[in-house]
Amino acid sequence: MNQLKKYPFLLFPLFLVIIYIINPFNLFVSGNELSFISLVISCIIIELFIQKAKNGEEIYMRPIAAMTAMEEAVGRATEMGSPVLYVPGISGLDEIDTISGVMILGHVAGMTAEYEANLHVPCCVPIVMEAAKESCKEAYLKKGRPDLYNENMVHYVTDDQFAYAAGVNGIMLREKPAAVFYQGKFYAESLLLAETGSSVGALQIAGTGSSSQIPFFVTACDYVLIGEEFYAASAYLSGSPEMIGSIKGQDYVKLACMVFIGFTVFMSILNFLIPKFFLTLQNLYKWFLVTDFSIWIPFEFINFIFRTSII
Amino acid sequence: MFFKRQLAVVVMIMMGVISLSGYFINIQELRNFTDKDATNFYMIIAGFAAFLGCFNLLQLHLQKITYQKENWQYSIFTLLGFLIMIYFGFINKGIESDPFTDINNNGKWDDAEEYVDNNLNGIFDLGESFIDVNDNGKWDKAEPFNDIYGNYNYDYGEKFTDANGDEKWNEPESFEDLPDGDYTFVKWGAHLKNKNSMFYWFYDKFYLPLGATMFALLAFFVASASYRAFRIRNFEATLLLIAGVLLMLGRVPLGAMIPWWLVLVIYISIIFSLLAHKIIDKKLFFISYSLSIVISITIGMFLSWNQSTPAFLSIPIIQEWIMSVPATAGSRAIMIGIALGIIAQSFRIITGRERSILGD
Repeated sequence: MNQLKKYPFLLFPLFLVIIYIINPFNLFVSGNELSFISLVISCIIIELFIQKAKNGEEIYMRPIAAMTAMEEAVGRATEMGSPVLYVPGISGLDEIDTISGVMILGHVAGMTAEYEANLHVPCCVPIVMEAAKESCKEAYLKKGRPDLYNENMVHYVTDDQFAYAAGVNGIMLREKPAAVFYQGKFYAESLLLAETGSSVGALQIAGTGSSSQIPFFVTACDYVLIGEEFYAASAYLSGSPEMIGSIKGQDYVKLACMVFIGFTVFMSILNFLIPKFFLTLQNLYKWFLVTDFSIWIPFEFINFIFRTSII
Repeated sequence: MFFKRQLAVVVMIMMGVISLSGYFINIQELRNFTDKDATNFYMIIAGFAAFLGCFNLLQLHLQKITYQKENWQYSIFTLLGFLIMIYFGFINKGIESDPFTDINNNGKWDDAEEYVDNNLNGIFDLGESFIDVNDNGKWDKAEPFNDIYGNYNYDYGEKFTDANGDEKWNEPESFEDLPDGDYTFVKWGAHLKNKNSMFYWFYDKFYLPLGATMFALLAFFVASASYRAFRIRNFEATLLLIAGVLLMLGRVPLGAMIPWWLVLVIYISIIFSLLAHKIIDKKLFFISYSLSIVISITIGMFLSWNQSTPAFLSIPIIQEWIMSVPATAGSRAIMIGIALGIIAQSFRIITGRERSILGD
């Protein structure tokens, strides 16, 4: 109750959920109720922690090695007098991974401006190049070093996957960067890039949402942002309490998922051991109109999270 | 500043909310917008950005050549490739249309006899004047056909609708056929996919082999990466090595041929290799290792494992289990994390808190 008084906005999503379930004038898409509820719950938790952080509540964030190593990598490049290479992946801005990559680029560019290190950003998609240019320019301006910004530090290579890999590998072999960042969406070229980077002795930090490419990066890079860490990186690097709060909220949503998974496993075991008891439970919840209550809610929730890509 | 900051944030929030609403709100127009129009908007913007990419590439490499910066020689190849493909893509098709006899002197090859459409209904009506190309006393229209070779022309053997019932496909004007037995009109754009065009030749002879070469390099990189990952440094690396070897064996026919007793020996060897540093007496180690092998094989024979091999001694079954249980569990954990990260990131963007992409 105290929380509700303190954070009255928590009531609004509840109101939304009720409206969605009543569905006046057939306004909402039927069948998506559970997705909607899951999304609303996730958003409420994240917002709650953002507000808590805003109100000055202390929020602890465990240190993530890859993020703390970013500054170290830029520092290393400065000391060695070699450039920092930033690879924003091969997808367009319609991929959230690329957006995250460009966001992290802003922070890395800020570091290179501060340390006066050279930054090199070869792009695969022209629209990403434009966004990356803007991001770098602003970062240099914000750090008070617009003189260090060079229009050619962000440039276009090619749209083709392997031609791009060949181009970036060539840059690595010629310029011998001291630090290489791979932040964005990657496919089969991930290992080609990471192995070449490793062969030139660069400190490599990778981050991607492509789950199939994570093992390659883990093998060839020094640090990897795995899973949600990659999306949290920009918020983490910004250091603002609001952003840190959102990461905390995200962690709590993950905890909720873990509880659901545990609940599913427990109910499945129960179903296996005492089916009669479980049948009685099922009958009690018949109004749910599902055959297997034990797996319905958690699976649907997890399914939704699997499928969700909002933007 | 307003256009760069506030307006950009407003557009970002608005588009985010609209895209999200399209998934939940039952308004067809909204769903059409999110499913089709928004994607088209992106395609159009990306299309314009392509020009910027080309200009950037040209500018960068021209600068490198002009000022003879480090490694400027490579830029010559880049520019050459760029210009050659532009020339054969936009200026020279590399293949010509078939020459034809222009009977009605209209400067183009006609696929039907021309007529004067008196009542402007778009079709030939009896009584309308026409140019009788093949002198058969009646107006012939080009018969529609099923273009199975995709060359925009009727080829012998292709199905056609016999409009005038003469059991053959009628073509009104004669032409001098160059390569393929049919009149070929090479449209702009279509020549990029035409195998006889120069553009296609460059694509086929240079671009594809170079791409394939890069892709093939992956095999060697996988080998070097695997070597690094499988080096026994700690417990996790050892586990990775064991799982990797079992997977590799299980995926090849040789894996199915490995007998149960050999798999048993492999298991015992793995266990003893893990225990090796704890047993200092080498004699004791060797005796216990040998005894374990002998005893377990005897038990196996006693339990007739040679007739019905248990699943844990069959390499292909173990391989399948590794893929479907531990590997799937691990990848799903990562995928759930990724999905949660996407939700949180999108929430930060939609609420206008995450503005790093705008340089904030």
